[in-house]
This record gives sequence, structure tokens and C-alpha cells, in this order.
Amino acid sequence: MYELRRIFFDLRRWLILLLIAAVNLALFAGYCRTVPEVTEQEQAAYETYLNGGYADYLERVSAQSDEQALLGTLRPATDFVTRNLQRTRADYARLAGTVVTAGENRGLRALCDFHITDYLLLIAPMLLAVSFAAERRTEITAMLRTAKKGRVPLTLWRMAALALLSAISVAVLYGSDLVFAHGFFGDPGYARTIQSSPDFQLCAYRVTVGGYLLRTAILKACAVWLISAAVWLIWGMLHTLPAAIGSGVLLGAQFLFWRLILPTSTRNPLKFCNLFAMLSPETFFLRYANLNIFGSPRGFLPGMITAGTVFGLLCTVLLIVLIGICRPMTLGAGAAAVTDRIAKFRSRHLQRLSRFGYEGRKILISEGGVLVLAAAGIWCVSLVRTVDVQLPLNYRIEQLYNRFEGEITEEKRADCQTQIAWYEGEIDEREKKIERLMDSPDPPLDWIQAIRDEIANLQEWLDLYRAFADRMDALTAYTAETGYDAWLVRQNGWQTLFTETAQVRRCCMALLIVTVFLFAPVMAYENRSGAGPLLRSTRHGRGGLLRCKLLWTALLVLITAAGFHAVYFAALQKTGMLVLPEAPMHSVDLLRFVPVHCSLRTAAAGLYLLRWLVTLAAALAVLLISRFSKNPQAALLTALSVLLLPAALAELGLPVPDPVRLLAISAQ
Amino acid sequence: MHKLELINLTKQYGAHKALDAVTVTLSPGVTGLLGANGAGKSTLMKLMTDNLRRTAGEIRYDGTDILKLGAKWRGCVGYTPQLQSVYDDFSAKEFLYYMSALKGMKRRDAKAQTEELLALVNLTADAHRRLGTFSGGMRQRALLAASLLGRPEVLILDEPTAGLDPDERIRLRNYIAELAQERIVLLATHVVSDIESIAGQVMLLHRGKCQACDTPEALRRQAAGRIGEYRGSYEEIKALQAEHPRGELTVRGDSFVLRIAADPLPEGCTPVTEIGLEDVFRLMTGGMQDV
Repeated sequence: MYELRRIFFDLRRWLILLLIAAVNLALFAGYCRTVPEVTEQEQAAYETYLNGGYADYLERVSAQSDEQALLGTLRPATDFVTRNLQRTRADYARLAGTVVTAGENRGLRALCDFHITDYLLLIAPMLLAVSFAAERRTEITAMLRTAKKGRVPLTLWRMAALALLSAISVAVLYGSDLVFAHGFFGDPGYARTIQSSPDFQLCAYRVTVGGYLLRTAILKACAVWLISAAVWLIWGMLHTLPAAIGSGVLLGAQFLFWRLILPTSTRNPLKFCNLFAMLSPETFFLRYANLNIFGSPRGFLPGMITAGTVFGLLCTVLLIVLIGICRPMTLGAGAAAVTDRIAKFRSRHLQRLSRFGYEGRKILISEGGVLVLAAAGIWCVSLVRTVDVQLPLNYRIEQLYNRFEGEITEEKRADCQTQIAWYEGEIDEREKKIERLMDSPDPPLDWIQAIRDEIANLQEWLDLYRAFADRMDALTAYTAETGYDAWLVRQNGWQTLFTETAQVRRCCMALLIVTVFLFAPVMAYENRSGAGPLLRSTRHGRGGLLRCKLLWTALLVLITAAGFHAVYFAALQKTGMLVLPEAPMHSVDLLRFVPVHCSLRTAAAGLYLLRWLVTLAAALAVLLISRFSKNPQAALLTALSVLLLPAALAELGLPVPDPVRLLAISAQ
Repeated sequence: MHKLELINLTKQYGAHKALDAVTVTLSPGVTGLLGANGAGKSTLMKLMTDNLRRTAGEIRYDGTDILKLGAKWRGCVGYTPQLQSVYDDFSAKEFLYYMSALKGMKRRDAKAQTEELLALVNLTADAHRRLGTFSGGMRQRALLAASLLGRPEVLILDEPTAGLDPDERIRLRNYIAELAQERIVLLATHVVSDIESIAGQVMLLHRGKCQACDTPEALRRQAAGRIGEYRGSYEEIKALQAEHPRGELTVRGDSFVLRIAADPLPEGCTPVTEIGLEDVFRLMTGGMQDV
């Protein structure tokens, strides 16, 4: 009981959970906002589904099964396919009479599709599991193991704590998603059958929406417990390197099986009897499949539950035996020796670096900066795929811009006026022609209609030419009035660049997270080692050291900020709307308030410089937090609370100062 | 000859005086610093390395305040703090290289001195091992080597021999004595025998105050006649211990001996002639505190 108290009375644990919940909710809220409204066509299709569509579907499944079973008689009776058809028919036959009723389905769909929550659920229990494993590497283990209840009872209490934390994580994170979806989309009707949502048409279980949500929550909690228990077991048994490899192989293989194996594959037991399948159990309700167990079809949900139970029992036994009863083992000492050899090799061949070099080494290697940068790089690459800047295009406007954009000259203005006069003349001529035709005894209506279409087309051009002429006049007047040059340039691209769009916010949120993870350990690392007084007693251990740290901070902020902003800029550049970068910045309406005369290229560079400086300021704030933290973990938590929590709350629409808004500084 | 003067050095945390008007002059040679836990030893060392802001007083090196000397002063100082974890992923050699960079040493000098100091602290064979895999004693030796880099004029050593085996301790003690021929060495330790054997001057700190600062011989002379032994049964010793809780109990066969530092000595106590610094410390600090 004391162990539970020790674990759950630790404020930091709750703070971590709160932070994860806030970030999760912010991301889920952002996701919900992208779910489109139900169109009329979709609503009509839904009504058809409710009014007999689902019953028809059940009949169709039955008929298809019969037909296919008939074909199957040509095959041997033991064939899996034949048995599978029989089972499918039987499963769906049990659903006869299922009543489907109308209700709000978008929240359910959002809950099914948003898998980030599933992965965030793992963080707090995994941290606890790793802390148990890390304790086995310290002297306290010997002390605990000499106590009367320091072996098996302690292991059992810890397993219980892990289970409890898994359940709490699911309740907090999944629960907050559910509450938000309820509030955002409306009541999903918890008493309805799950088949009331067309997304769950294939579901072969008789279950209500509430029952489905409860079952998925329980399965998720079980999966979280199993994964964290497996991690505890591996990290408790092995040295760091083999433990990292072992857990990586186990979880990586499970994840790949889950993602890559087709549901209809004969190897589908690997896909469905899987930890990640249990973590995202929505699949078992969204689709229908049977496992091929030695030629016999078995339901994939019971199969997964059986596999999970076996795995859970195995984990329990192994934890009791290997962690509870056996002495701390040194399995994988060979691999640990490899890391030592690598360190020795590095040390032997290392030349003395400069102070700057050593600070970089500390930030990148000792404090794990390289890993954060690698993760940031992967994130950047993933953003390349998701950043999609769509700008409204109109080929007529494009043509006119191609003709008139740039510096406004008298020739261009005259040319525009000539075009206007020509279109006016053409329209005039055609109107007169229509009048003449109308006066005839038998007016050719088709011909007249064709001429009217021509007029409409010419009128559109005329309106555009007039708009361009007006714009050129206005820009000329603006230049005369203010003394700032203004050219005719396409506004969309540049305005998007200088605006805080959702994409920019996403990049800046990523940048903020990377900044916090990269710089939170920098000063706290020295505090934890207690090396501060030693360093400060050296000749260059004060200003010189600080300068090196600040230089690295500036450099790394430059690299990460350039990476994330370049992704967005490149996406924008690809649209071809960022033309005439040499044009004066006042050519873009959004930038008129800036009392400086420079080109759009310089203004864009200034914007990114400003964003870099703001990010640098955020990094310095993180360093300051780190300076007053006793260890990197505390610094990370504090920085996350100070910078990321308000950003997450602001993302939810709460009126709090938003650091991301600062990072995404724009002309708005 | 260099001279380091502490003049009325005071450090106050709120109402608590961690160091109270300490005035001492240190000259080349080893000055042993003895004091119970919380006596102010680490505070004094932090003030001397300018890691702490002093409340009052001065620290002068060759007549100039060390705050005025700034980086120049830090260039003269080698400091070994009490640390249990230093950059665990650095190898010993890498750590010394790093410290040499912070001390502003040239690469060639750094390389030569690193090799020499690693040999001195008997870490050559482990030079490429990570500090995280070192025992406490090995780490302490690595730290000591780091403080000796750049051949500093002033060495401030906080428990440099803690965690060392007897052989290592003697080796290091000898080396410190050798270094102290031309340097000022302030050596704080709980191992009184280290100070007894090499310190030319001993400074006794008690509750932030300097109780005494003199040669070991002079201190022993001051304690003469006030250190005695009482031999008796367990019950007698127990009764005497109640009055003199700082007495040191030893068992000799069937009888018990209580070594007492008091002025005057209790009745029945035989004054001893062989007086150690530990006796002096007990006499002057008047407590049972950890030495």
C-alpha cells in the first residue's frame, strides 16, 4: 500500500499526466475542427441507411454467404474459406432485428480516427515502468530486497500501480476526448446500437454505443498495461543497450505487423493478436474478419483477447520470477561492453576540442540533443507531406497578372485602358447585333443566346480589366500620397506568407516542443552533476562558458527554426504565388502599416529573422528555467508547463497567453 | 612568496552566520581545515573560489582582492569540490581535456599534463573509461587531477582523499605535500591523519568561527594537560560518559578506557602525553560532532 501511496502521491506524476492530457486535448480539438459538416448527400444516404438500408445489408450478407458457400461445395469440406463463410453468415444472422436509430456520428468517427491519443496513453505508464527498471540499477535495490516484503509483494504492488496508472491514463485522456467530442459534435446517443453509425455497419457484435466506448476503453487500458509491463520486464532484466534493442524489436515488430499485414492475409493472427491492435481496438468494431487458426475461423476480437490474456499471464509470471524473486541480472553484459568499447574508442581518438566544441558535445551527446534533432528532422519530413497550401486560382486573373504585374508604368495603364475600351466596344457591338436580331420577324434564339454568352464572357474580362485599372490607379495614388513605392503584385501568396495560418501554427507548435526538449536539460545538467562550482572556479568557466552555451542555443534554434519554417515556405513557393520578390513590400496591402521601405524578399527575410529571434527568446526562457532546476527532468516538466501548457490551452480556445502565437509572429 | 589573506570574512544566510569574521593568512604549504559538519568549511571554500557572494570581509591574493582579480584569480586556482557525479558519459581523459579547455590551457600543454596527471592519480589504465563506470574513489582522483591541471598557484581541496584506499591516500598525500612546497594548499578533510602528517598549519572551524589557526605542534602544546584517559569498569565509564559525552571509548581486554578532552580533567583521569589533532579538535570545538 505504501508503494501505491509513494507512486500516486507524487505530484510530478500528476503534472506529467495533466500535461499529456492538455497536449492530447489540444491536438484532438484541432483534429475535430477539421471534421467537415455533413453534406446534404451524406444526410440523404444516412437516412436511407436508417430506413431499411442496414436491414438490406444484413440480408445481402446472408445471401452472398449462401451463394459463396454453394460455390464452396466444390472444394474440400475442411477448407477455411467455406467455414469462414458459414461463420460469417451465423455471426450476421445473430444481428437480425438490430434497430438502428439516428444520432450524431461524427464524434464517434473522430474518436476512432484520432490515434495520437493511443500513443500518448503509453507515456505515463511507460515512464513509471522505466523508473522501476532504473531503480534496479541503483544501490537502493539491495536495500529493498533485504526487506521482508521487498521482493514478490513489492513487485505485485508495482504491477498493481502500473495497472492503476494505465486505467487512470485511459480515463483521463480517452475520457477527455470523449467529453470534448460530446460537447463539440453533440450527444452521440449512448443507448443506440453501434450499427446506428454507418461506419460500424460491418460490426458483428450486439453492442450499444456506450458499451462500445466502455469496451474500447478497457481494452486500451489492458494494452497500455501489457506494453508497459513488457518494457519493465525487458529493462529490468537487461543492460541499457540490449534493453533498448529488445524493447525496440518487440514493440517495433508488433507495430509493423499491426500496420503492414493485410486483414485478409493468412498471417492476420499476427496483425490482430497484437498489442497495438489492442491499443486501437476500434478496428474490431469497424470491420469484420476471422482469424485462420489452423484452418478454423475464429473471431478476431476473442482471438485478440485470448492472446492478450496469455501475454499478460506470461508477463505476470516473468515479472514475479525475474524481477521479484531473482537477483538483479546482468543479462546483455556483452552489449554493455560494446558501448564501453565504443566510448573507449571515441576517447582514444578524440582530440581536445575547444570550449565551444565541448559545450556542443554536452548539448548534443550528453544531454541527448542529437536524438531531439533527429526526431525534429523526422517531424519536419512528415510535415513536408502534410503541409498543403491551397490558394484560390483563377486563370483569367492569372493572365492579367502575367500581363500587368510589376512596376506600374504609364504604358501599362494605357494598355489596360485600351483593353477596356476594346471590350466595351465589342460588348456594344454585340448588344446592337442582338437588338437587330430581335427586331427580325423570326429571331434566331439559339444565335442570340450564343451572342449573350459571348457578352457575358467579355463582360467578365471587362470587369477584370476595370478592377486591374482601378487597382493600378489606387497604387499610383498611394505612392504619390505616402512616398512608398507599390507595384501590382499577386496578393494571395504574399498575404499567406505574412499571415498566421493553421499550417504556420502547426510548424511553430512543433518548433516550440523541439525547443523545450532541446534546451531544458542544458543548464539543469550542470546542476544535477553539481559541477557548477567546479566550472565556475576555472578561468573561462563563467562568461566564456555561458557564451558558448548561448552560441549553441542560437545555432540550434537557427537550424530547427529554419527546418520547420522552410517546410512551410517551400510548400508556399511550390504554389507559384510568391512572384516578384523584388517588388516593394507596400505592394502587399497587409504590409502597408510597416513604416519601412524594402522589397518583399527583404520583408520575408525580416519576418523569418523575427520568428527566429522570438524562438531564440523562447529558448532563452527555457534555459532560464533550466538554470533554476535541479535536474533535466524537472527542467523539462517546468518548461513544458510554462510554455506548452498555455499553448495547448490556447489551442482549445481558452483565453490564455499563447506562446505559439508569438513564435508564429505575423503581419496580422 | 605568494600570500592569501582572509580578512574578517563573513557569510550570513538571513540571521544565520555560516562564517563569522574569519581572519587567516595562508602561505605556501598545506593548511589543514578541520571542522564538524556544518562548521562552514564548504562555505569558506566557495567564498575562496568566488562561487558565493560574501556578506563582509575580504580575500586578498598578494594584496589584491580576488574579486578585482576576477578571471586572473581563477587562473591561479585549482579546486576539487566534493562531487559524486560528474559528466558520467565523459571518459577520464575527455574530462581532463574539457577542464583544460575551461582553464584556457594550450592543446599541447593540456595533452602533456593530462597524461602526467592521469599517471599521478593512477588512472592511466582507466583513462578511456567513462566516469559513470568509476567507483567513488576513482572519481575523486579524476577530480583531483582536474584541479591540478595548469599547475595552479593555489589549491583548494575539499575532501580529496575521501573514498580512497590507504595506499592511494598515502600516495596522494605525498604528492600534495610535494606540490605544497611552492603553492598554497588548503586541504579540508575528515581524515585527521592526513592533516597531521602534511599540514604546516591547521585551521579549526567551529560554527562558522575560526577557533584556532596554528601549527599542529603549537595546537598540541595548547592542549597539553587537558587530554586524559580514565580506565574503569563498564558502569564507571558509562557514568563518566554521561558527563563527558565527547569522550572516546576504547576496549582494552576486560577493561574500558575513556579518553577525555576537558579543562580541568575529571578526577581519576590520567593526563596523556601523546596528543593527536583529533584530541585538540575535540577540546576546542567541545562537541561530539563528526570530525
